[in-house]
Amino acid sequence: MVAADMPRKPSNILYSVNEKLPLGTLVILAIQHASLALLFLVYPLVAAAEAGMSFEDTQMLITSCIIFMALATLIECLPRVGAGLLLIQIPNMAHLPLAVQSMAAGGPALYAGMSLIAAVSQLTLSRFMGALRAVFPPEICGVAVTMLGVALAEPALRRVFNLAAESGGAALDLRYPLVSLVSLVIIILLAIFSRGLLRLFAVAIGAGVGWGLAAYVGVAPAPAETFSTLPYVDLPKLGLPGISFFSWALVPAAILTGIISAVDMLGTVVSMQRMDDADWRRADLAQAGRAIRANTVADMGAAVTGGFASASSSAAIGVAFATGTTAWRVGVVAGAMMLLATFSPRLIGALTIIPAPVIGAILIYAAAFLIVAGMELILSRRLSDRRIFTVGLAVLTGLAVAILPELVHATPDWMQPILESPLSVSTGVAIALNLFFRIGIRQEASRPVVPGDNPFVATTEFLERQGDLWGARRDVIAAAIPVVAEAVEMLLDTGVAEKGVEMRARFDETNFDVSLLYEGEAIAIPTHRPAPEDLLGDAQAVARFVGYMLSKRADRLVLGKEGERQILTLRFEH
Amino acid sequence: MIQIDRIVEGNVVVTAVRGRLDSSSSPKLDEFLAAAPDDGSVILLDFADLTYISSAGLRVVLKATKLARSSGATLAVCGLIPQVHEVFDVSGFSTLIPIHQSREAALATFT
Repeated sequence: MVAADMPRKPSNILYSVNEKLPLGTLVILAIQHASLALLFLVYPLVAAAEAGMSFEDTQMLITSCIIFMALATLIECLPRVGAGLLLIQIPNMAHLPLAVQSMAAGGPALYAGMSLIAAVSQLTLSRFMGALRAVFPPEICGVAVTMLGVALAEPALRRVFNLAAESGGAALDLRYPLVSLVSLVIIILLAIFSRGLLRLFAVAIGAGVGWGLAAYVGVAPAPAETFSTLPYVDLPKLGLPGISFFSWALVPAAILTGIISAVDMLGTVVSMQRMDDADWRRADLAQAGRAIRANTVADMGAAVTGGFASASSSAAIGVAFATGTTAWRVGVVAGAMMLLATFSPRLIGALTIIPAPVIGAILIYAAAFLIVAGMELILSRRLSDRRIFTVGLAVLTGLAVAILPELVHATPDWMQPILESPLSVSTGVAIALNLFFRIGIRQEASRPVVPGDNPFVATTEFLERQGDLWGARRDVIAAAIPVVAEAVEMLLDTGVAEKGVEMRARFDETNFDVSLLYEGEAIAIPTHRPAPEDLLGDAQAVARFVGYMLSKRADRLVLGKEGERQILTLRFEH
Repeated sequence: MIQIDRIVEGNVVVTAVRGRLDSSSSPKLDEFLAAAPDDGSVILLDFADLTYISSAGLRVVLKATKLARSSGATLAVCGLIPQVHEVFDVSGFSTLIPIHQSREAALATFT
């Protein structure tokens, strides 16, 4: 038997969030997630290289980063303490500009200070997640998830085609896209057509074959000279670089980096919630808040010990989708494996030389999933003109900064880290437009229905218009229309409401209520089903029969009075 | 708003209803089904294209059922969409009237 509050498992999911897995399967999946997470150490490595950090400082940056991303993964995945979802941490790409600028300006101590500020701003936002429900309706979450996918496209395609950030039109080397294509096709074919172990290994097999092919065609990077000097087993070394806040110019960028990270985390949490629940209705913001808080605590730890910040991985969502497994236990084991990995510098060194086109293929897979998952979220609600433009303009603004980077370069330096992220730009515009377009929309509306009106047509027009304005769920409005139309028809046809009915709708995100107000007698609602023959009886018998049906078809039926008028309220849970 | 077609398949008279069956349209179906059927014949109401039925529509179906029974005929319905099926279930009509998944399934039973 399934507990009432358990989400319904979608058909493409083999092991859902709370399911226990066989030990072997658990380990296989955890290895894939942990390996993928460690591949993204490339971000802090890039930051260290750009900032000209010493070998020792780089080691400290990487070791602390792994330890705290492992701890954050453990906490986030545990139910109650964290979010209880499969959320795998990776080094936070949004921190890259902040890390490069602050480490170049003031060394690891300044990055530690700025990273702390980013964590505090993220933590502050997470405290208000519940109150932010109106700010993050499903279509806004959908924009964030879609743009999370779009934001992955650029780093993914650069890896696929081996394009440097400032490439000057060098000839395309087809070996790189070939490696990506083969890896991607294998992952997709295994994810779609295979069952059992093959599907669980989808990403690992795709990456393994891609790596082999990369080595064969000569595009696998050779290990650095220092690689052979790395010990197989060693105690992890953490340092205390000190904390500096001296660069006030970087403080706005640090605060905004925290906000971008929170929105990024929200996107991944909502994606996991949606993937795990066939009947997903709205974001569980309390759960998202717990995940973000765990992330900020880990980021603070990383900052103090000279590490690079982390955030939950959208690439891991692709792995979860490919392998059909969203079980939180996988994340806990993956977190433990990451912790163990800090004892093997040679292992970490080996992972950081995985061919870029293979990572590109994994990112393409995750991006494709996220883009469509976001669209699905957007279309789960009825869209009024206001909402269509909220979503459309937000997505276009995000695409503008992705397609036209020169626009971003024309802005002040401190704004560039925010504006160059399609995710943060789109989500920011979507939130602003959503709040702006709420002006003038009341959460209650009414219209009269008089004898001679067609109850079904009047009800459909009214509820669909209000549903569009309020962004109500399509299925809820579709279910409400025939029930409300039946109630109106009964009140008018039986003569119970001779002068007509006022139809009043109210929406508050969790309930869609339609009240029918009329002058006349209250109808009786029998608790047992009347005989069908009552339909051939007098007006009272028909009203009783219909009253019984309404009580069964609406989630709740309430009778009351407002002044001299009777009120029949039909509630539909939203 | 409502379209009603009659097709005779052997001893089965199929009445296909398209659209909504509410207080404004149900008198038309009522008129259509008013003639007493022959003894032993079958009246099949094909509701595959019926998108909405109110209590006024149910009343017409109930009247036709009673008329058929009193004439020694059988009345059945087929092709209900989920929303209409729910109305038949909640009202108790699904225990009163035989319901077939499709016209083909119903004809296979009666012919």
